[in-house]
Amino acid sequence: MDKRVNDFIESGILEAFIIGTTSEAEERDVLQMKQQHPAVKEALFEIESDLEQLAQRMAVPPPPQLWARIEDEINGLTVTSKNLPGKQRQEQDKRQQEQTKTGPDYIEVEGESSHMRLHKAWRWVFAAVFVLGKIFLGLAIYYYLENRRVKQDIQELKLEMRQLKGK
Amino acid sequence: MNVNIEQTQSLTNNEVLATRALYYRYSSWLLGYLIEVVKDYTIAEQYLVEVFKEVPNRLDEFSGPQNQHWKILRKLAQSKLRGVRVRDLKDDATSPERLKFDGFVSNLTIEQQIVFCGVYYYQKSTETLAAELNMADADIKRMLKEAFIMIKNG
Repeated sequence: MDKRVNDFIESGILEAFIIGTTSEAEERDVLQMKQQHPAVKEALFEIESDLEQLAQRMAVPPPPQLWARIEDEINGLTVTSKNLPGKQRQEQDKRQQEQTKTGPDYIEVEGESSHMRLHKAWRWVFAAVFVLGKIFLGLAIYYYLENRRVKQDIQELKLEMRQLKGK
Repeated sequence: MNVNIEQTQSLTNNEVLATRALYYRYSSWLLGYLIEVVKDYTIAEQYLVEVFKEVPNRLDEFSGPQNQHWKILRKLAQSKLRGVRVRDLKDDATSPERLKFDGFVSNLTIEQQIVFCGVYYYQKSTETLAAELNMADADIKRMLKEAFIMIKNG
């Protein structure tokens, strides 16, 4: 192998290139050498394989449900503050929410149901009101009839008194 | 609440399937890489989601040789991590507590670890590391090469 090519490979520039931290000038050099010398191309391939092996050895399996979450996000609606990963985004949104909070801490909603739910204790109140209603109705009818009977008695007495005076 | 609701572009079944194939092959590699950078499992997981959410829009980049896939995903992750590096890791990327790696990397000398991790995980150029460590750029590149050889040989 050409000494210049060997020195180039041994310099460590190829490793920096594969990782992506070379300057533009260095990048041009590497690409030029790669085109001109198969040994450089081969060395680059080998370094890439080494990095893959390293990544494989340091792999950490993600939680099993994570793909479902990603799939949901790429298929549907996403709620985001642009350019921030999730945790930072949540924290920032929370901070902003706290800073801008001026109104009451609830959401106004209008119920669509025509029914209402009550505590069970209310049934005894309703039963008492029903029974008392019946009692008052009975009393009202009784006093009405009694009143009508008394009025009739008075009329009869008045008639008797007139008849007695006439005699 | 200041939120922005985005409707993602609708994707074909094939695009989702291709993304899933990449996910099942590389997600554990990428999560391992991200954990080493951010040193927090939950945050790393969030970055993993962010990366794979972007993959369907970049599938054409994966049409090349298979040995380039890991490189593309790593670069995508690095672009997502750019902010966090500047904010969190500016001064402590080479501190001992940040250099807790498995046996493969811990076999390296401290200088090799600093160079390898600075370049591979924190995306520092060899020039920047040379200035930080008061060494020549060529020496940093040589140390990087040595680190690669040592990791490869275990």
